[in-house]
Amino acid sequence: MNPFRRHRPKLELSRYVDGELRPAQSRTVRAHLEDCPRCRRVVQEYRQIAEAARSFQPDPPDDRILERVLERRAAGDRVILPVEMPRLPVEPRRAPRWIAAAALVVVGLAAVLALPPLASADRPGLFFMPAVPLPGQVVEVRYTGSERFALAESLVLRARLVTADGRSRLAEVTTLAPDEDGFRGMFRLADSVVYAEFALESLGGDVVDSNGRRYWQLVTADPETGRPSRAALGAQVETLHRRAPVLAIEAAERLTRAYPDRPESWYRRAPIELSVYGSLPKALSAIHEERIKYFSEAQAAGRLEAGDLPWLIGYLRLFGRDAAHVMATIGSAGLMHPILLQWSLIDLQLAGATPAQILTFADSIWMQGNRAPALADAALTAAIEITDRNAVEKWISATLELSGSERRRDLLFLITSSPELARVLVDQLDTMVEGRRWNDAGVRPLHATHAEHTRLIAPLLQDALARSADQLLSDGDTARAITHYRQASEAWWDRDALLEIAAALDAAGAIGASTVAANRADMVGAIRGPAGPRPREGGSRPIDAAWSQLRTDVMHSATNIYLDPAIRVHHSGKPVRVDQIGRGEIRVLAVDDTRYPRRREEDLASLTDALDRVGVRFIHVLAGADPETCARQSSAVCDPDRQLVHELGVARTLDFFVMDRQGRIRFAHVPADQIVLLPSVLRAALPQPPPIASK
Amino acid sequence: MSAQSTGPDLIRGLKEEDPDALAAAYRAHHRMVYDTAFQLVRSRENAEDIVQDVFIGLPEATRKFDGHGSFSGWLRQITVRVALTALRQAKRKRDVLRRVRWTLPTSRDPVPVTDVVAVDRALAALPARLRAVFVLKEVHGYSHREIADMLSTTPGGSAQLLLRARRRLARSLGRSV
Repeated sequence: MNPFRRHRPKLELSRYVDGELRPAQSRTVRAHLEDCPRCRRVVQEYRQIAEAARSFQPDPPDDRILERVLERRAAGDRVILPVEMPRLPVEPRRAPRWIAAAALVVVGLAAVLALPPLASADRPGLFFMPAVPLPGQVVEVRYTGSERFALAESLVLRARLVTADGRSRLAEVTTLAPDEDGFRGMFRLADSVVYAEFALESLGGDVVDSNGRRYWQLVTADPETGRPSRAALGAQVETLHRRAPVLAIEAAERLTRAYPDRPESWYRRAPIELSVYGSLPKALSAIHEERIKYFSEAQAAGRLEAGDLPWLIGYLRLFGRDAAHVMATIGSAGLMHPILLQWSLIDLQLAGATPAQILTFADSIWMQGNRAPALADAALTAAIEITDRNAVEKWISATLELSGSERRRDLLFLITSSPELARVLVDQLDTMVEGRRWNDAGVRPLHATHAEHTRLIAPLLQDALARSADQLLSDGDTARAITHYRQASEAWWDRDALLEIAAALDAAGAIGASTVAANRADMVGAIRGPAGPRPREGGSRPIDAAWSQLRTDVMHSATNIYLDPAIRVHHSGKPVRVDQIGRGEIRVLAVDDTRYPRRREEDLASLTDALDRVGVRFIHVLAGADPETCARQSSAVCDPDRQLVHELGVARTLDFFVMDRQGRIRFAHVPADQIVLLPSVLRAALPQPPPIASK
Repeated sequence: MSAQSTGPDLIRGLKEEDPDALAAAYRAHHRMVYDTAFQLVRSRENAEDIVQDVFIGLPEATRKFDGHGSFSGWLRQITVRVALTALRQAKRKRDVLRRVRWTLPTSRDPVPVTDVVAVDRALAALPARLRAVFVLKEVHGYSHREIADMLSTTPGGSAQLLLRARRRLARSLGRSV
């Protein structure tokens, strides 16, 4: 078996769960699952989470909704639902504008139609002169047909001004004075403004005309051609996209009509169409297909500018081009936006690019100075996949360069699957920290301060390092073997393993290191028991070690303890982590059971065991539960009328700990009137200090 | 009231804007519409607004129902689209997620209920887009292609988003995957 190929990629497992793998691939995964408990667990976990999500039922909705629906309909309210793909004419751009607009209004928005009655004949209008001004030019503005402003002496012209880089601000640009058929005024746009939207209001702000909330729009011209500029049309599309997708589509069509040769135009247009239509009607897909073909040819012929390429890559991606296509485009782009890079990697992986392809790709992008973590990750995984030691070394050091404990942890997970890789990692770390202990350089906190990491990483790392050292020793490289044994002993995990390491060091002649390892073995034994976290049955250990054990066990059980978030507790202190609780602080651990009656019995059993070992009496009371629930919980005491709860004294103010899903413990103080929210109570009667229930 | 909950009578009644038919449709489908909306927007108020909007618009929308496939499936798809639109709008307002409420499960859940609540809680904490993918795929069983269409991404992108959602859920549930 190839030691580098131990587990299937998570994405593949995820798609396996979805049932969206090809049959052959699916068979491979199934075969792998039979042999691999870790991957099996991942798959099982994904399925369980989905199952739980499916079972969840929210509280029922308000029962007066129907009434309101009928009332609102009776009052003439209508909502246009996004029902179907609109039936557009074959060539949408040639269709009369109003048909397209009317069809488009149907989709996308669940907006209440509250349009004022149309008075088309004398619809007021705002007119600009010139209609498409140059940036910075003075614009004359006229407003006509203004019955609603009949009494106004002057009007305020308000605007949203948008610059080429997409920033916008609101401004009062000018006031309009009345003339014979309306109002008139002028203003000058700032040079940086490429697009603006206008609305009018009376001086007091009490009457407003926003053109039926569509506003009046003004795009500026390109000084060289006199046509609306690309930046202006682009800004218009982006601005409208946020508030009025239907108008945005029209604007985007204008943009692609004016600049059909620029990928930017199409990249701006496509997402709006995709979001409004859901999936594109055939006619539109055909237009985009034709454009993609056109751009591919243009790129091959070198007719595109460097600035076009990121847009083109984005555009290709929107239409699901295959990995090779995207990679070819990127390859010639010579530049890479981080987001595009991430997408491209995903595309490459999904399209089943070979590890070698990914490595080549990563090399070329890295060479161009793009130090993206995603790139290093992908490359390292690929290098491991094809067992290319040089590449692995190179990408490990690249990954370490990127720093960050999160990254190192990922790396450790990856590396500890093989002693070979562990050795590479350790060598790299050695070089990096220049003589300092490598686990001080950022790795140690991972398994020294976090219990989960300690459980998961330290044993793996220790094992991998020890095996690597064994190998070195048999190769006759005693010096490096000793280093690796010493580093393995720093993983601080298993007593027996530490003793073996001590013996190995001893045999290799490293007496000092051997003594240190043996001492650590003793300490680990005292803290954790001889092997791993489970204590020896009936063993006599110092009480502190027993408490430490209790904490560990409680924490492990805690993944299935769930306290009702609806219980409001008054904190008497800051959140405290479970491994910071001092001895004697756990008095009563309260769990809510009737609301979640099927809490697994083995969880309770393991809690009972854990408490029992330190002499804590455990009473699991099902208070207020129906007899049927009681019958299922064989180990519980039934207390249907809450009598026992009262006798236990929990119907008074109590101190207890609330444990959340992260295993953090909060010391909480619950007033008597909220105790009823705790229908079952786990009561601990500690020998020291005296049980709280007696206070 | 003669209309049946999904029969041709109901659909005819809806098309004719008959309030009785609308009421019948509401009784038959409001829970499905509400649950679907809630799973996506995670706010009772917003889910209720969506239910209102969907049923107010239903008579006009039904005129475009061609009778192929189930009415309920068709209605669910509309609800999903309306909810996604609401999410997009809410994302801008940064509104929906701040008003997440805890709700508790009913007792007929087939898996350990403790997990259901925890999963619900973790789901509520997911970013809207990840949650949308997860809910559409895992709860409603849409394919990645359909989800990609709804969320303006690619099927591959949808699969990737689903993986991220799963990993984040697993992580926030304290699992090791």
